[in-house]
Amino acid sequence: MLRFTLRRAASALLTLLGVLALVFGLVTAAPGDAAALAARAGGNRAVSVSPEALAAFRHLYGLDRPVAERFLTWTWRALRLDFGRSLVDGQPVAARIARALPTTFALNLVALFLACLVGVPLGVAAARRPGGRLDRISGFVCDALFSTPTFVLGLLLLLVFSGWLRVTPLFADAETGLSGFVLPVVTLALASLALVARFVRVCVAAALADPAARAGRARGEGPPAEIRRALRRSSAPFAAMGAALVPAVVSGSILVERVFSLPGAGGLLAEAVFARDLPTVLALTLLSAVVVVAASLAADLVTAALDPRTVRADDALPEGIAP
Amino acid sequence: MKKLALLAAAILLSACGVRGKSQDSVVRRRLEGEPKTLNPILATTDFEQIVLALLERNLLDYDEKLNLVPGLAEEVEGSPDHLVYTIRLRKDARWEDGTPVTSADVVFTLTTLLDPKAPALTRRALFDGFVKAEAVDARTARVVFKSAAAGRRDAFNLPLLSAAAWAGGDVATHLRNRNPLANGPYRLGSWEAGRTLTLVRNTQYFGEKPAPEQVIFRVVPETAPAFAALGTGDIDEMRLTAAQKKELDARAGTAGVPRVVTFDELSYIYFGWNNRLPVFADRRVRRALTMLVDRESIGRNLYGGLAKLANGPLPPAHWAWNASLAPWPYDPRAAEALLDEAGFRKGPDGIRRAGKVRLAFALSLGMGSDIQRQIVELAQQSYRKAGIDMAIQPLEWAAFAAKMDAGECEAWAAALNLDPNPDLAVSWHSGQVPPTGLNSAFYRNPEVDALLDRLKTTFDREATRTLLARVQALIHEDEPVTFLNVPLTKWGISSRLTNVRTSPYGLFLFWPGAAGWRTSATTGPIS
Amino acid sequence: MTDARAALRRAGIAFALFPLLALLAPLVAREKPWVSGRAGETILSAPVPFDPDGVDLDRRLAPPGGRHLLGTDELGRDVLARVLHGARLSVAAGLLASALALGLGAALGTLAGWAGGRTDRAVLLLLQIVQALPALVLVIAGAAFLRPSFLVAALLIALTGWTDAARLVRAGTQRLRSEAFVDAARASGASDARLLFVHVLPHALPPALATLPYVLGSAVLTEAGLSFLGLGAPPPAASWGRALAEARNLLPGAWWCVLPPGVALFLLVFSARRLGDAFLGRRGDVQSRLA
Repeated sequence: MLRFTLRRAASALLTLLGVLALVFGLVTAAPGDAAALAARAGGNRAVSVSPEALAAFRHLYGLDRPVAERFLTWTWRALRLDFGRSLVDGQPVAARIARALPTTFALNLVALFLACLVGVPLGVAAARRPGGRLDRISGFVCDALFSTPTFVLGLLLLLVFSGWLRVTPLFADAETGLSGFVLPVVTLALASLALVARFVRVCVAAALADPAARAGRARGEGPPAEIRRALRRSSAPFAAMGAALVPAVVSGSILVERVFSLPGAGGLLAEAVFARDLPTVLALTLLSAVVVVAASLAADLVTAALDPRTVRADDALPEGIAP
Repeated sequence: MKKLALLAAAILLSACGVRGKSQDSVVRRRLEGEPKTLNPILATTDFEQIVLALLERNLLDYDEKLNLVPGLAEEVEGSPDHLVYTIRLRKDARWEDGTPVTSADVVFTLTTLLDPKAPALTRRALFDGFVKAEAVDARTARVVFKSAAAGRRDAFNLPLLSAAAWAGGDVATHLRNRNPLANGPYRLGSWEAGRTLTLVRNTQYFGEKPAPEQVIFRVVPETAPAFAALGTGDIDEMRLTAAQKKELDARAGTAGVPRVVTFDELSYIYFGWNNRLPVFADRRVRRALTMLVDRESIGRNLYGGLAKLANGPLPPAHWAWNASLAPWPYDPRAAEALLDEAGFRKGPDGIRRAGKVRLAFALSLGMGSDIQRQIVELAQQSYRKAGIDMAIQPLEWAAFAAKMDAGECEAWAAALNLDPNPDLAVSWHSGQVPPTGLNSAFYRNPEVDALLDRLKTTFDREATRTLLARVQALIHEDEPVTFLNVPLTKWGISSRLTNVRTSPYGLFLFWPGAAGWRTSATTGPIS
Repeated sequence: MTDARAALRRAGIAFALFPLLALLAPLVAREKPWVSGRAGETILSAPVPFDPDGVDLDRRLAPPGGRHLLGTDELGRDVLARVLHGARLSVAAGLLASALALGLGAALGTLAGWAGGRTDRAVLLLLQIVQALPALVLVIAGAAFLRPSFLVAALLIALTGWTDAARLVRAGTQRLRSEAFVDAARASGASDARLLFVHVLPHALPPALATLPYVLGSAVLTEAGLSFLGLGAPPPAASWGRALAEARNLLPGAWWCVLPPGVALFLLVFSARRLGDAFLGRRGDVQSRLA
């Protein structure tokens, strides 16, 4: 078990490094840099910027150093938790992220929680009678929810409830308080609900059809015990699903954030890539990658603890329940 | 049942967010993006300028008619040889903390502006030839240049940095960039990053107290939610699309409906052609490209009738606009004749070619403007019918900027916003090709070059007008780019606001601009 | 059993309508008449006699009714014609992107599962890196490099979605590698290549292939998201996602520009998912159904 953990941890670190290097490479190699953008930031003003001014700008922010050196410098500083200053406004990157992150975090976590609150019981109930009416209806609704692009759903909800019916405010801020978050959360929750309900249904149904479950029923176990066992045996894929849904928590809700004018981390990341603001991109990427890798690591460890077979298999991933 | 409860809860929750201040004293405005900095020297984007216009006065301001009028400076006097400018500040100009605005601030501002280490990219060009700035006494400063330039006075449409507030530390990363010291009618109250910026009255301001006590800026990137907010009264002003204007026009006359304000601005949209390429070298081809676009239809339909035809490098709102130049007509037959004459005949695939050169190219387009995209798609169709193959390449801004700076764009579509007294040389002089200047079309006409050189040292207004007229005529003949339309800007203004005045420089960047807005006695959001 | 087969058939037909639509669109929606007389007059015109790219500014934003069944868009183009032709792009983008994703995933998964050892670890590391990478960065930076085109959009979508298929094929290949029948085949002298292609892959690939309908649905939705951000196939190509993203500023006024492509997109993704569900009803493979 210890060797397993260490191997996994080493793999996690390598992954982090790989992600950062890849992102660094992508953003620096992409055409255009922060200097060229700042020169044209006035939109289309007919004011020219001399090459000397651009060169000075680049020198000021170290954009003219070799790529490898910039990467190493950044990594070294990042280890000491110094994420530098944004190329867009000169403010500390950590401060910008700290302002944007809570919104995204809160939005996604609450949406996920709501989705699970409704989705898990729904999935379990559907799984208990496969092919039954609840199963068919919930399957239909979930597929329908999944098939709608989130930005369309969000925009429609906004226009109907805030623009026409006026039951929710158009913007979320200190004045409107929590009510401003109702619609974005609902939009995201509906999208995640489809995923969660389907997932739960599939895992539980498979577990219930398992020989072990049949044996349990033959022994006279009632439904609660059945469900408990099914959930426990599904723990591996559940953990995997959790790990898969995690990236969304940091940067996945950009479309919804844009539609509802919420200044979140998703929008910050997109804007930073468009502006070639490398320090901000790297810091957000690191954050997102750390969360993903940590969640994945946790999922693997949890699975290993619950199902010793996985430790014995050589780095094999949880394979699900039924062949 | 559960749904009703949820709905009731939502209504209750939203009722809790009741606005504190009375409606009268607050103006709610919209920003299309978030300001990155409130340092008046470093600010580049429109939304930064809009906010700063209420916080900082300039040495000289533009009035409604774009004349330079006193601002922080009572007077800016140029020496007869146009090399030395003497600035006399107002006695009563003060910063929001009560300290006076002094010549030390002027010197500090100019030194910072021209410091190669400070990223003040866009304002520097106007101070080309700067030698030094010195304080003569507390109220007077002297700025010395080594060369005379005709547009020099416009350089003093310049805000100031407080030497005391911005001392100590790097200007680029100074904390004051997020909390500037104001000398204008308002000062910064609070800034909820990414959401709202609140300005409150500056009690130390030397001029007339503005009517609204507070101005709240809100960042709303998407136009549909912003328009909904204009309707509910959550915001009081926004830029309108043609469709939105149509809707407001339809509801005009009903009480409480926002009104539409339209005005000319110093801008135009155009297709840029890289004159170095064989396909664009012949001016007959370029003229044909202009004549194949139905610009009147574009103005009528895409701009709701609110656009004029552009006929050259200056728009009609400019004081020296040459009205005698007839815009090239929309005439596909004549255009095709021109193309034939230039040697481009239709090949078997329907695309014209002259020998080995196919009349095919890629047009780069920056993201963000729906209308530009539509015009480009329109042109693509017209060109295809005439045997021209134009591919459209949408690019994000960084990539677009990089390509333009490297002079690598074959063709591009863009809008150009001009300053009140623009220096045409930057865009049309053959010495100003990328990366030095903005002549991305690589236009070269020795006569135009000579005229532009002469303009630099022509200080007489009438002489300038004559020279500019000739420059416009020459460029019109050569048509190095296709000048498309001069759109009128459309703005939606809440019925609560009065005394909203316009200028060719927009609603906000002249004096008094938004500082002169007043709220009427009507109360409450529009129902 | 017949119930499941009937469901599969229904779902299959529903989904197949879309590629069919894509193929027939140029015939159904075009300006050139089906049959024209010797003098050039129209004897029989196409059901939707409009060029999807045919701009007509004077008739822009006309509401549904009259000549234009679904109205016209902001450049006066017939919405119905555009939606019909949009099928080609949306279906093609979806198919191409999902084919690329599955192909790439299957290739890497096979490599990892079969070779094992260090190759396996390397591929696994790559998998983890791509999964931990924020898709936004990959997509925006990738789009900046490459000339915007239909192919590039499909490629970008594929790059964000190949990891699931890779994991599935890898797991399957690994498991089957040590099965008894493979040992038997090896003992009777079969080469490695033969073992892989004839014995292992036919069992390892199907779970991944079964995710095709889901991957297709995701690809189509991702394309809509890309268009929302301004990336994606360049104009005048009008996939449904692009039409939706561009028309969103016309809400709530010109709703007829948003509803048809929205409904079409929805139905495409929905029918793809139902097909996936129906197909998997015959198998019990959990992993495939988690897509």
